[in-house]
Amino acid sequence: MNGSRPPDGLVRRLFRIFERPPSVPDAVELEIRHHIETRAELLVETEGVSEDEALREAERRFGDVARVRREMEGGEHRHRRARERSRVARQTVDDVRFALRALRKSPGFAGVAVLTLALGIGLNTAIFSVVKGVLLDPLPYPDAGRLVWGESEFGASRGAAVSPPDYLDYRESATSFEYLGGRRGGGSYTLTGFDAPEIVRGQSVTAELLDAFGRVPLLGRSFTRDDELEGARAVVLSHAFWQSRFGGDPDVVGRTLSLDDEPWEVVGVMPAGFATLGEADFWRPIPLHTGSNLVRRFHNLRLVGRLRPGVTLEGAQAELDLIAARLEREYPESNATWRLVIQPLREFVVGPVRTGLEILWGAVALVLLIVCANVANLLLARGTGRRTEIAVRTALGASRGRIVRLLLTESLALAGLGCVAGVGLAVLGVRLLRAIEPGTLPRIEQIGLDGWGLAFAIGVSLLTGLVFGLLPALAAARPDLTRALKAGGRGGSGVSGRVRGALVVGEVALSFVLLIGAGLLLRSFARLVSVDPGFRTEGAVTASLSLPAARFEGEADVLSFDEALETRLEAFPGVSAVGFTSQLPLAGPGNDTYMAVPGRHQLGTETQFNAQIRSASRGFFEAMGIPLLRGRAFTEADRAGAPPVVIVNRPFVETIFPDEDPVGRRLLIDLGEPLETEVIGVVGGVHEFGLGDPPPMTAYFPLAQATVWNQQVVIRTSGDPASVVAALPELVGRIDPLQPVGSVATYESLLGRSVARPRFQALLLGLFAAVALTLAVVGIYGVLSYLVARRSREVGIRIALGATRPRVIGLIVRRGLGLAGAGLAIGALAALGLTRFMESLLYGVTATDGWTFAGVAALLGLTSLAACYLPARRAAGVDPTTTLRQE
Amino acid sequence: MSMTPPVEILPGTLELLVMKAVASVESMHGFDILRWLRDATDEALIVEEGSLYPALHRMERRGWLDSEWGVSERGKRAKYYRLTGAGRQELSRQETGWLRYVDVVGRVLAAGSEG
Repeated sequence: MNGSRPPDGLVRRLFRIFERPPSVPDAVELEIRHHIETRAELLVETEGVSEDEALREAERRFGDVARVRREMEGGEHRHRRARERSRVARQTVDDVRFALRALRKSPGFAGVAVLTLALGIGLNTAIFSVVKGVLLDPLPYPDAGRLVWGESEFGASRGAAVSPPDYLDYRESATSFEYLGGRRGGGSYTLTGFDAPEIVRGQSVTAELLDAFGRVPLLGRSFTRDDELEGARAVVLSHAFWQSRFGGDPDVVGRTLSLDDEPWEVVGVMPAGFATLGEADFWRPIPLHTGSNLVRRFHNLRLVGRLRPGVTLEGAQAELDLIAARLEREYPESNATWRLVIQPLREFVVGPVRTGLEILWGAVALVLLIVCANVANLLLARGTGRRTEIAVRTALGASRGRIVRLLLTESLALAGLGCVAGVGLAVLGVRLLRAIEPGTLPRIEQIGLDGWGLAFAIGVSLLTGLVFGLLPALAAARPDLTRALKAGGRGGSGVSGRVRGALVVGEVALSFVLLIGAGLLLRSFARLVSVDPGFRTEGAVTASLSLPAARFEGEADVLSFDEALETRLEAFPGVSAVGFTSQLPLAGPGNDTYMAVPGRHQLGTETQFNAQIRSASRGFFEAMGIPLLRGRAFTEADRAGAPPVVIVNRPFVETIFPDEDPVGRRLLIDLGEPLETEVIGVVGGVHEFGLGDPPPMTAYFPLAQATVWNQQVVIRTSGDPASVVAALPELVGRIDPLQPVGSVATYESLLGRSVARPRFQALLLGLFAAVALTLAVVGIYGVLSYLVARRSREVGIRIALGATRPRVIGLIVRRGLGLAGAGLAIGALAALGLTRFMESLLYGVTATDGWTFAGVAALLGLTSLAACYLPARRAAGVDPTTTLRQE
Repeated sequence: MSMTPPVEILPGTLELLVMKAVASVESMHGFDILRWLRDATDEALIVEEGSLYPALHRMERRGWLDSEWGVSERGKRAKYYRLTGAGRQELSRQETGWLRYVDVVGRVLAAGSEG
C-alpha cells in the first residue's frame, strides 16, 4: 500500500478493512493507450512513418475511442462491484470458518462465553416479548388508539365511578364520541336449564359499550337504548359461552337463557376473542331509568368511549369539562366539583404494570451490559494469550484492518452462537414467565416469542458482539510487535490490564444497582406480607352465593337459607364459626356511600364524608377473626324492623370520633334515602383492598337489616380447610338443589393472590440480581487470576527476596478489593439516582433505604473477597525457583 | 496463400474467435489477440480494433476470461487475459455450435445449387 498516510483514527482503522483498487477510468485508459501505442510503435518500425502520423493512423484503426471508453467504463464499474461483493462474501465465509475453528480449539472459553451470552440475550428477549405483548402492542380492537377510558374526579379524589344520569347527559351532549358506553364490574348469575345449576359471569353494560370496542356481533345485534328500559331482558353471549353451552348453534338468537331463574333472550353473539376488559360469559343491559340508577349521587359506571376520527383526547376532554360545568350548575348538590376525565384505554389497562415491567426491562438490560463486560474480559484475556499469534500475523503482512476484522468476526460468531442458545432460552423463559405469572399482567396469555422478539434477539446479539468485541479487537490490533514477539506471549501491555480492571469496576457497579433494586423489592415484599391484614386468614374458607331473586323473593327467604346453611356448616367437624357478608376483604372492590354525624355534618353538602359499607351476619366478625374492640356485636335482636344499628371500624373511629366514645352515637347514612342508625360497636380495621392499602373507614350493617342476595360466605375451621372446600357444594345442594356455590377457596390463597404481583416482581428482579452477582464474581475472579498469572514472575521475585506469603496474598486481595470498592462506590451513586424510579413499586421502604444499601454493599464486598481468595492463594503458592526458571 | 478479399466479421462470432485466440497460449493482451487473429486468418478477417475491448470486458464479466495487469514485451503496462475453466467449456460449446451451423448452412446452399 502507499507509503505514507494520515495517522489512523479509530474510525479510519475500521473502514480500512478493504483495500482500494486503482480507479476504473485509469484502468480503461491504460488498456486503450496500450493498444494504440503498441500499434503506433509497430507502424513506425514497419512503415517508417513519423510518430505523429503513426499515432493518428493507430487511433483511426482503433475506431471511436470515446465510445469504446464509455462502454468499457460502464461495464467495468459494474464488474468491479460484483467482484468486490463476491470477494467480501468469500472472505466473510473464510473469517467465520476461521473463527469457528478457533473457538472449537478452546471449548472452555467458548462454552463459558456462549452460555453467558445466551443468558443475557435470552433474558432480554424473553422480557422484551413480555414488554412488547403487554405494553407496546395495541389493544386487540380495531382502531384501538381512539378508545378512551372515562372515570370521575371530584375534589381531590380520582378514579371514581360515574352516575347513570350523568352518563346519560354526557352521552347525549358530547359530540366527540362515536360511541360512549358504560359498564359495571362483573356479576355472578346462576345459570339453570343446562346440566347442573352453575355460576356464570355476566357484565352489565349500557347501550354503545359493545359498539365502542369496534367489533360487530358475529350473530344478531348489540344493545340498543331500548334495552336500557326497565324489564328488558336481553343478553349478548361471548363466543366461548356460545360454543360451550349452545354448541355454536347458528340459530341461537331468539332462544332464552335462564339466569337467576329469570328468562333472558339471546339477542347476539360476539366474535371469538372479544372481551370488554375482564372475563364475561355474557353481557346484559343496565336498566338506566329505574331505581337507584336515577340518582345522581350514586356512582357506579365506568365508561369506555370511541373518539370520532380526528378528535383529540384534549378536544374531547375540553368538551366533557363544559358539560361537567353545566351539570354542576344544574345539580349543585350532587355534581359540585365532579367531572368526567378520560385517558387512553391502553394507558388504563397497562398503566398499573408499566413501571414494574419497565424496571424489569431496565434490569435485564443491565444484566446484558454485565454479560458484555464479562465476555469482553474473557476476550481480552484470550487476546493477551494470542498476542504472539497476532504479532506473527502482522509481521507476515496482515493489515490491522484484517486483524480487527478477524477478531470482530470471532466475537460476532460468539454472539451468533449466543443468539441461537439465547433464543432457545427465551422460548423457555417466556413459557416459564407465563407459568409463574400470577395473572396480574394483562394479556399475558397472548405473549409469545414472535418475529419481533426474534428480530430483537438478533439485534441485541449483533450489538452485544460489537460492544464486547470492539475493545479486545482494537487492543489486539495495536500490538507492540517487537515486544510481543520478544516476550513470547507472557508479557502484555498494561493497557489491556487497565481496561479489564475498568470492566470489572463497571460490572460490580451494575450488579450493585441490580442488587439494590432486588433488595428493595424483596424488603418491601417482606414488609407487605408481614402486614397484619386485620383478620385471620389461616383456617378460613370462603365461597360466593348468589341467591336468585326469582326464587328468594323476600329478605326472609334469604335469611332462612343462610340460617339453614349456617346450621349445617356448624355441624361440620372443625367448623367454629360461619359468617355472611356483602363483600369480603381482598376479594375485589367494595361499596361505599356518604355519611354524616347529625349536628356535625350534613348529607348533600361538603361536610359529608365517604366510607365503605358492608352487610355482615351475626357470626361474621368471629368467623373472620376481626376483633370487637368496643360495644357489642350484632345479635338476633338486630332484625328487620328493629332500630337500625351499625358497627364501625377503628379507622372510622380515629377519623370521625377521635376523642370520644362512638358507641351510642347516631350516624346518618345516604342509602338513596338518609338512614339514621346507632353505632353499637367498634371492630378492628381490615385491609380491604390489598395489604399495601391502608384499612379504609368501614361501617357494617346487620345482614338482617340490610339483606343482600349476592353474598360471600366465610367459614372458620380448626380442621382441614380442604375438607370444607370439598364438602361445601354438597351441603348447599342439600338445602336447595338448584343453588350453586361459586369461587370456593381458602383465604390463604386469596391473600396470596393479593400479593402476587409484588412477589412476581421481587422474584424476577431477585433472579436477575443473582445472575448479575454471579457474573460480577466471575469477572473479579477472572481478572485477578489473570493478574496473578501475569505477575507470577514478580511474585516469585518478591518471595525470593523474602516477602511473606500473607504479604503476597494481601497484594492480590488489595488489588481485587480496590476494583470491587470502586465498583461499589460508583454503583451506590448510580443506585441512589435510579431507585427513585421504582418508588411506586415499594411498600414500607424508601428508595434509598439505608439497610438495603448497607446489606447489598456487604454482600457484594464479601463475595468479591471470596472471588479474590483463590487467585491470591495461588499467588502465595508460587514457587520462586520454578517461575524464575521459566524465563 | 489465398488472395480472396477480406471479410467483415459476422456478429456474434467475435467472442468465439477471441476465446480461440486466448486458448492458444497462457495469456494475451488485447493487441496480441488481434495480431493472432490476423495471423491465423492471413488477414482475411476485418475486426474493428476498438470493438475488441468491450467484448473482452464482457467476457470477463461472464466469467469466461480472467485478467491481470502485467508488463508487455515492449515494456508497457498491459492487461492480460486468460481463459477460465468456464471459458474453456464455453469455447467448445460455441465451436461445436458454429461448426454445425456452417454444416447446415452449407448443406442448404448445396441443395439450392443442385435444384
